[in-house]
Amino acid sequence: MVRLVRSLTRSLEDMLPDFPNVKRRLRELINSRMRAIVASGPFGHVRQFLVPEGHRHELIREDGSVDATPPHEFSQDVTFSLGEIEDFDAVLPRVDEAAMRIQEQQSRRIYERIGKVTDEAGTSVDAGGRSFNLDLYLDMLARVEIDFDDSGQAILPELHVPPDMMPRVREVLTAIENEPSSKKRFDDLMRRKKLEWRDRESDRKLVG
Amino acid sequence: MSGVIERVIESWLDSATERSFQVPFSQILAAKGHRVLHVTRHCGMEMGKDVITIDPGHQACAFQLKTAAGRIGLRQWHQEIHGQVLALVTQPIIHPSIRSKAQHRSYLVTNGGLEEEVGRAIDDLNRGWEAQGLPYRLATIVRGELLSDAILLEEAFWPPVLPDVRALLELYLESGDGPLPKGKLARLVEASLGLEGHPKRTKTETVRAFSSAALLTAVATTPFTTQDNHVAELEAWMVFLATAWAGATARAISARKWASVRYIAEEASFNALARLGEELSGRNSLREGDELVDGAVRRTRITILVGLVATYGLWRRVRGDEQGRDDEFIRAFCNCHGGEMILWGEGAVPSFLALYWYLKLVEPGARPDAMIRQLIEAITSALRSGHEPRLAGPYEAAEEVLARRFAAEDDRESQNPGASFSLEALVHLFVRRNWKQQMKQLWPAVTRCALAEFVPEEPWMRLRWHNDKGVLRTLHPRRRQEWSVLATTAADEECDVLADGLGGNPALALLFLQVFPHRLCSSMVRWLDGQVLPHQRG
Repeated sequence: MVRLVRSLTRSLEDMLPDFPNVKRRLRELINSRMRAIVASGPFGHVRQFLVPEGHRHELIREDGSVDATPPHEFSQDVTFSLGEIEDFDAVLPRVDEAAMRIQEQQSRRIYERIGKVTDEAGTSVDAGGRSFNLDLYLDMLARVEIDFDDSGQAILPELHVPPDMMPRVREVLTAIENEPSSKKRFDDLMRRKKLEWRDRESDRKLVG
Repeated sequence: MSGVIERVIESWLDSATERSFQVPFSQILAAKGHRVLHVTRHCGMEMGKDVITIDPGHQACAFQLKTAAGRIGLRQWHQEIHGQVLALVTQPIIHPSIRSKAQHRSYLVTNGGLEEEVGRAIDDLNRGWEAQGLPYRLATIVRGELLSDAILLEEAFWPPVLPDVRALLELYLESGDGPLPKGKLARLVEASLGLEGHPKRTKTETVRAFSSAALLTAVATTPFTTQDNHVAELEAWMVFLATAWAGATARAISARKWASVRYIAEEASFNALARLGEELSGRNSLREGDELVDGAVRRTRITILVGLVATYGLWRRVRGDEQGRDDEFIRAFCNCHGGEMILWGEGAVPSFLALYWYLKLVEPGARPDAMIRQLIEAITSALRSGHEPRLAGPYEAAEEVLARRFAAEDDRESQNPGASFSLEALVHLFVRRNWKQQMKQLWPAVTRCALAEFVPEEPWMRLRWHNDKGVLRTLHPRRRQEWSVLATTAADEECDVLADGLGGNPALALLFLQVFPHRLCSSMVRWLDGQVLPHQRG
């Protein structure tokens, strides 16, 4: 969260009228607001896991492998001058900005982590300098597990791309919808993926 | 700071009722080296003896407690006390631990004083007995002595630092009609015992500190005792017991060294359960407080009550108490209200387990197993991706969950951990009952859930309310699992923390899980199942 760096020194012996309960509530609202901004980022909808106790977390995967990534702090310092701090309306935009910086730190770290994990798992694809195209997209989809919903529709993974790549991505996705050859290749892959998914789901068994 | 605490002790002593006073008084006796044998439940059987002990000189002692606003006067002496004192002094102590036929020492204990005439009347009694050659004598313990004994304990062991003093005051100033702030009390007791994170005590000091911490517990929870909030009372003693056991285990202090303190606290818990049962049997409704909005919390209250009443029934069996009217009531209450229980969060699972084990004991058969299946289905359904509202985790108290349910949209921040702390335990329990085909149907849903368990650095830390250090493990179960492997795991009943801690008493362990629901884990449930139903493994 935001750390306020005080540039003010004053006597701590004096006491002026104050409203601590109101301020406590405002702090809570500011924290909620910051959390909402951080959650509005590319990974805000990902299910979060609360660690209510202890100092570390271990994830034990289905295959028995253990991930004991240590916790990482995301924080942003904000400095206010005396004049700025006296205007509450001026505080909020700065707090929002700090929340955005935290969101960016979090996203960057998650992307780094995803890159590392996918490299280790062999699911990453090196484009080798090529621009985004159907081959690359289908290659990426082929390497990951795809689940299907109750109506049989594929739950496709999200595409996270830099803004300058968006037009090219849109072209490819539009082609899948409108060009018969592209559509066929995509549909063939989805059929294969559905069979894989069915195999996985039917393997949820207690045997013996 | 010590002056503030002394005022609290004075205030507590001056406003104490006999019931709120007897447990702390017993703890003071234990601190002075008495072996406490009996603390009354205030039924008709006590024959004038509220507390029975053996003093450090191996002499049997009996104490009659009387509270007084100010001083006991002659009217109260004649109308109420004189007859009871005669029973106290002249009738022998009947207790299996007292074999000697020698006359016991008798004490009239009051948190107030004695009017001069009453003092004279007692003196006359003693002279009369002496003149007749009878061995009877009545001694008195009055406010001043009690206060100085309590303050001596306090000075030695009560936490002196400001945050803890504030916590003590906050507890003492509670209204007493709401849930007990268990975490706050646990921190206070830990500070008094010098547990991790607090100024350390030597082994000898820790043993003495047990009595002091027990007194602290009694004083801090006075408002709840005053309100006859039996649930809060038994929770307070369970917090004390668990924390004390943690301290004893951490310091390798043998159970024998603090046996009296432990006995008093266990009896206090049991008696609070008994009083809860008495209250419920005398009521014609389960409403409480503001009735207009009581419907919103009713089923949550019933869930807590059924779990505790079932635990009371189990405890009576563990103690070997003769089955009677109390047990008829317990059975009727559980059968009548069990269907109204609600899974308000994973914190409710221990209450369901208490009912489950009680019903399995009193009505052997497969019917209660359906409850375990329903719990598994409810939890797997609640954890399914995208399902709202999600199930609250065991770290959230009922009050927090209820408050969030009725909060404005903006104020609703879910603490759901995204994984289940109790699902594995429930699966193992179901497997122990050998419901193979049904478990096969449930298995796919189980594999879609993450299973969580907090593992502290040392096993004894499982008895603490909170640990800063430790690992939170999240496990994704294998999709394909062998029944035989699952059954082997489910059959393992090893659980040192319960077998050695809490005295190996299954009823106390079950109460522990209801008061500390975030400590429920599969090893504890398997151990409990083995203790409660040793012959019903599938």
